[in-house]
Amino acid sequence: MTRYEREFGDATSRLRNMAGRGDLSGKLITTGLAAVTGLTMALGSFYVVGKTEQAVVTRNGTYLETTDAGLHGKMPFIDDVEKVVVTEVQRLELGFRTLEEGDDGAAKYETKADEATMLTGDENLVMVNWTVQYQVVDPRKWLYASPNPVGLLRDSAEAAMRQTVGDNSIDMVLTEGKSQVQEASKRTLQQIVDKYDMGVRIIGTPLQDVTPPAGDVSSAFSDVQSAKEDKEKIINEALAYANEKLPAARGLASQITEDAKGYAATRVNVVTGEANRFDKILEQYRRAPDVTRQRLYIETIEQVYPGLDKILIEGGKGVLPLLDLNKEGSQ
Amino acid sequence: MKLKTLTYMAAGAAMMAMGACSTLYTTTETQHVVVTRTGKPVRVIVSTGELGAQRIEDVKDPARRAHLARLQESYAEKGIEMVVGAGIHMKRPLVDKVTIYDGRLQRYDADPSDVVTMDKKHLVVDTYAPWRISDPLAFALTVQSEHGAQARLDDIIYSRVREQTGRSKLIELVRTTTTPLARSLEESTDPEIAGEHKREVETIRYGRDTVLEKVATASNSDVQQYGLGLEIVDVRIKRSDLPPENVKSVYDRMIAERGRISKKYRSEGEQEAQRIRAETDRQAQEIESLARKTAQETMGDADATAIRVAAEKYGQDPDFFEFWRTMQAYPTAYGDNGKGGKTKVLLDAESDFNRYLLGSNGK
Repeated sequence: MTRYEREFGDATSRLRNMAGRGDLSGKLITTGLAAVTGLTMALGSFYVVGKTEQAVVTRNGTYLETTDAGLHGKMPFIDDVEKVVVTEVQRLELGFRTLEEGDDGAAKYETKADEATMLTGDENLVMVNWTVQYQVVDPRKWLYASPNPVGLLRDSAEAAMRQTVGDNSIDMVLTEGKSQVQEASKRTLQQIVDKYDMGVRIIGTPLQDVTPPAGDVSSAFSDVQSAKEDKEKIINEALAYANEKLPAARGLASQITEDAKGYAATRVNVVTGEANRFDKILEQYRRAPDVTRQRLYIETIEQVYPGLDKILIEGGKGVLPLLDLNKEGSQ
Repeated sequence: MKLKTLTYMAAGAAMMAMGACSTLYTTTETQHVVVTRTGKPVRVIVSTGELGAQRIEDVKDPARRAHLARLQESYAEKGIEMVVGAGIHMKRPLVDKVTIYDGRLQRYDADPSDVVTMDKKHLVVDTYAPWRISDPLAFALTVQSEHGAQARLDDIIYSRVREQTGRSKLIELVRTTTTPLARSLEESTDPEIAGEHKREVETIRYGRDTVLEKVATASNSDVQQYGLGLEIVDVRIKRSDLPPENVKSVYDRMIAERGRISKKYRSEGEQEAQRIRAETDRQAQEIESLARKTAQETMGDADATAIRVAAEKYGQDPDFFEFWRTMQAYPTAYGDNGKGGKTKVLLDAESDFNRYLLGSNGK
């Protein structure tokens, strides 16, 4: 029985009850019957398809048409209308459920451990939260493939993701292979639903959260992360040591070479200077060697003697008689 | 009286409407109908299973078309009329009983079951299998309802799953492709871990897809043998988990494996840091010693120049040089050295300089 047959049946039985009471005039019953029939006919003559929907219309069980958004007429009783969301991408949550859509983005989630836990290809366990984004492209197929298309899609999505994760190593799933896993799972799911001819297109199966199992395993995984950071830190410290030590060594090296250059310049200049001075003196000396020699000698003595404690000894006499003189001092 | 007549008329009209309704019924494109007359099947309305195909000739899929033709033949042999397609159908009131079956994909969902693999590992497998009615009459006679079908499929699929999983290794149920997994770079660089990995990897003869295909084929032949009138489209593993008692050991293994990786990172860091420090020290020493070498050479060059220049100039008159240089040295050698002490000298009054002082007036 279609909905309209049911409604019609209800209406007639209501009328019979009213008539059975016998306290209503025949006129009223006739009017009532006409009114109810009219109303049912009127209400059954049109339907509204929402702006994201399409409607599949069957007449006497046979497919008649698929209609787009808007107000449409139909034959009461014999036309049946089923509406399907088509233009909107719909979403299934797997491994988790959103409990509360936060207004400020702080949504609350609940993990479904049994749905999320999976075996990886290297026999490790991993928790995967993902969504399936799908769009119904053929509402007729969607309605006619299965009495519970969403349930079938959900089963298929679980099978597809487990198959994909089961074919990858845990490191692929957790880190660098995420996009490949998403892509492979999407492909597999599309193949499965195509086999079921569900008229649905899989837009994507994006991974939300992929984590190692909670507890000790999780901390072992985060320790790998901190070990990576430790490695970087230790190396950076060594590099800092290198960055400090090498410039210092280069500085010291410049100091040493520059000092040597300074010494060299001084040495050459001083010696050359002295030699040139001697050269000039020699030139003059050669003009009057004896006088110059005498003069140079006297000038030097003149310069040296004031700074000396002097004791004059008569020529040819010994030193002994003079030993005591030391005490009395001399000028 | 008038009121009563009207009431009867209304009631009569209602009865007639209901009677009309009970001789007419509508089926959709996805429904199968089996009509029994006093308990005996007389008519079967078969959904073509293809949208828009209302006659056998319209069915595009040749296998399906052949199947429907075979069905029609076999029904005809039993004296049962087969009708194809949706629409309004008539039945005889009271004697005809119409049973409608959903021709769409039904979902068989098994309870998770513990299987033992060929390598004696336990796995909890949760399978699902979409199926559909392929022979409504046979279905009506054997399993009778969708509920009955679930029970029969439980027996068939469960035993086939057990049989096939028992012939496969655990890894063959987990993996799909047979290529060994390329581990991430961080692990393959370490021979210790790579070695560990090699020990873990077994040869994979086939993957999950193959196992499940075998399950589906075997289950379908069972279904056919029992004449259940249905077709299993697909058998898939929705979940395959380790039994709780095995999870612990996997966790322990995962922790140990991660521990090794962590340790490897840290010791790699230490190793690299040590190398950098050692290299730095070496470079610093090289830089400093090279500078010292250059410095000595520079100074040596300068000294050589100095010696050459001095020898050149002073060599012109070595005798005068000796005199002149000695004169220069006296003030430094005997002069006030700034430390207060004065050099004591005994001077011969007859020495060159003093001879005029006490001597013979410049003779």
